[in-house]
Amino acid sequence: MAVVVPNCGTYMVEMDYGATTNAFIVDDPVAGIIGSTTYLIEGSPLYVDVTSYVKSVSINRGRQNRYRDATGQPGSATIVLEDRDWYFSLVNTASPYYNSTQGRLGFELNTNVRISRNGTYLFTGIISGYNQSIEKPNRSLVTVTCSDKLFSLNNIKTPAFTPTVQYAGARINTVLTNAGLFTGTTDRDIDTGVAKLGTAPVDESASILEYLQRINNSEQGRFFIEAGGQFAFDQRLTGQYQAIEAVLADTGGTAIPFTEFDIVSN
Amino acid sequence: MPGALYSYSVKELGGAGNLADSVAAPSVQRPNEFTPTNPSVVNTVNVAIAPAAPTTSALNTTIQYAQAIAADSVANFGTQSTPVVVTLLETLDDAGDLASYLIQPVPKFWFGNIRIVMNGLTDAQRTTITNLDIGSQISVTKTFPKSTPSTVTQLMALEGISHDISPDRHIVTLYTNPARIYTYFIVGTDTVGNDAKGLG
Repeated sequence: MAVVVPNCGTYMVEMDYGATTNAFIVDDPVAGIIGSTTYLIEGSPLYVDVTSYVKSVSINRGRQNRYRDATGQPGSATIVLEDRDWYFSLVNTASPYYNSTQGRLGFELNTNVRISRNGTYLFTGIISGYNQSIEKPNRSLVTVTCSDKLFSLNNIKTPAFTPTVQYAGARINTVLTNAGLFTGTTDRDIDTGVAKLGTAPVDESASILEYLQRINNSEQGRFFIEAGGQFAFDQRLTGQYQAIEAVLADTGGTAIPFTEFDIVSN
Repeated sequence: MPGALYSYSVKELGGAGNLADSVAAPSVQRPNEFTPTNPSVVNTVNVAIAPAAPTTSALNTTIQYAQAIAADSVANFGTQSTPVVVTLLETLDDAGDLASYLIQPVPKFWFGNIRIVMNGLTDAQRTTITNLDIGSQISVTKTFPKSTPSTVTQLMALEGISHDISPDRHIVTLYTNPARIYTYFIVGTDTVGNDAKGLG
């Protein structure tokens, strides 16, 4: 059940525990029709709303200083759950989220997580760590650490290939397509790029993330996972029009007020 | 393509190549190879292109690189240079463009780490903040009681964003960097020479 934070909005934290929906079922009169666009071989993750158990959420995405920090660092989220029903306990085989086929709790490494406010996603990623602590006498606190999908790109190697001369955006598309990543029609938001890349061969020793870093070293733009989960690449900016999306000020009126800030240097 | 504050020259380094791998180096070692120890001022940038693979008739490869130098900045701050970094770029012209882009002739400052308490906003303002993502452009205006000018407005691009959410509050922190993007120049309103305004 989504939770209302007073004077802030309606928030929802959803986690996938390994179950799927709309999965293809052999011989099923509805879910077993070959060619169906509704029922898919692997199905879609079945998210469960865990918001009523959430004690706190922190999300960090992107970088703080483009002059000092590299782009392409995975975004992260930490969710602390007050596990009053012990549904999130690693030892509770009666939990509704226990996966009896696997013989363990369904919330585990690489299962999906998404966090939203009023239906707009603030973070979309996967579980990268799961820790349960017990306080006396019997209070269970579960800390779920999450990363966006850049994290998993560090564990996938690039298929070897010799590229053609391409702009950075096309090279990124080639690398992702060759690896079968972000293949949905709305999974990528990639600029053309300014840098024209040569034909240096790519071998299998590099991870996808390392090679994307290498491409961006030549472009000096940024790549990241958007709050909604899409892979994004912004090209080097050399002066082009962009609308102002928010006006912040301490002068009142309709401008958005802020409480504090730093004067930062490069 | 010399800039107003600096110029660059393209050099070619001869001799046998002792190269970084032409594919990816581990990002944990050097996530951004151009980042010098102190990035406040970068006035000499060296960008190399990947050499051709050795052949039977040319066993030794040669590194070619472009170098951008901001001479005025060197005079003020001494040489602050990046190492020669081998990129994936195709031509020396591309390398020269990148070297120029990476020049930071003088230190910059900007309004950053901007904290916003969502509880204190209107519904429309909360929606605006929720919809911001990395790459969004914002403007920030701050008035100062003892400073000239007394009001400063900066255009910023979001490089990062964080949320801290608890049952009773939601605090958003925006990590901004100076924008290299601009808004439309309005005749009769804006002044010529404002780098933040353009013809679109």
